[in-house]
Amino acid sequence: MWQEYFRFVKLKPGKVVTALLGEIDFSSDSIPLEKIKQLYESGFPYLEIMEEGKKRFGGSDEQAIKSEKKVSLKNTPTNRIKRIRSNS
Amino acid sequence: MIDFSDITKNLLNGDNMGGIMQIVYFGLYEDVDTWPTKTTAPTTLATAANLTGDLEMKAGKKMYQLYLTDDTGEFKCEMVGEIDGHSFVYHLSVFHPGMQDKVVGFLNAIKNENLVFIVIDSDGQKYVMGDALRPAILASSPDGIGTGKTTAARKGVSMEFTAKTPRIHIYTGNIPLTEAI
Repeated sequence: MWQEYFRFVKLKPGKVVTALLGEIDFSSDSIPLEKIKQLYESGFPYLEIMEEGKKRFGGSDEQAIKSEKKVSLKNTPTNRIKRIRSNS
Repeated sequence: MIDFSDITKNLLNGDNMGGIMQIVYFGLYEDVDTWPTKTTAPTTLATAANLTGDLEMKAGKKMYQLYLTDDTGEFKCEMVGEIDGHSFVYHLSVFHPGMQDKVVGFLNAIKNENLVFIVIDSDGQKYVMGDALRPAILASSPDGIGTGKTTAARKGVSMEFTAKTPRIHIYTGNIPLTEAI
């Protein structure tokens, strides 16, 4: 779970339309860790890294994320629009 | 002074779709804690367009979603003023289907209220209506509020919101849909 490594801050856990990856519900436990890491590294203001995260990702980030799933871009605003259109 | 550069076609992935998303985001003007900042003395064309930072809400406040029928929403920037006094007015027009209590209550609540909107266009680019100096407001109902005359008419609520701004800006931040702590 991503909450072992990062902390959601400044907002109650819930939805944010992120500039990088579209809408994400941060009350969910199942957000891919790579997605969270990508947001954190982009300067996303609502995530803080915890000690466990620093241990895991500090120093050799590339190695640490190799085994993680690739980032899903299905929730970017553009892709959401395409999905809405294809469903209508 | 801005360092001018060539302005080429430069369409990202060739995309240039018209219209806006089927959702716009709104909040009360007085609930905004921090506004994204305008670049002072921008040195490039891009920095003259982009806001920096996030729109953040006060504790216990958040932004909300307003649904609109597809292909009824439009975001426009109107240039106003005279020579040496030009500025812009943002216009957001939307049509919300139906006359359900929530949208009627929304109209009643915001008809004279100061607001903020974030609009996302069909290519994912965002615009904020409202800034630290001026809010967005409900300006009119260009296509009316009502049932329509015929059974084939479109029943619902048409709304146009406006906001005055000295410059047109692109918002590059996030949109909080959950309460600030």
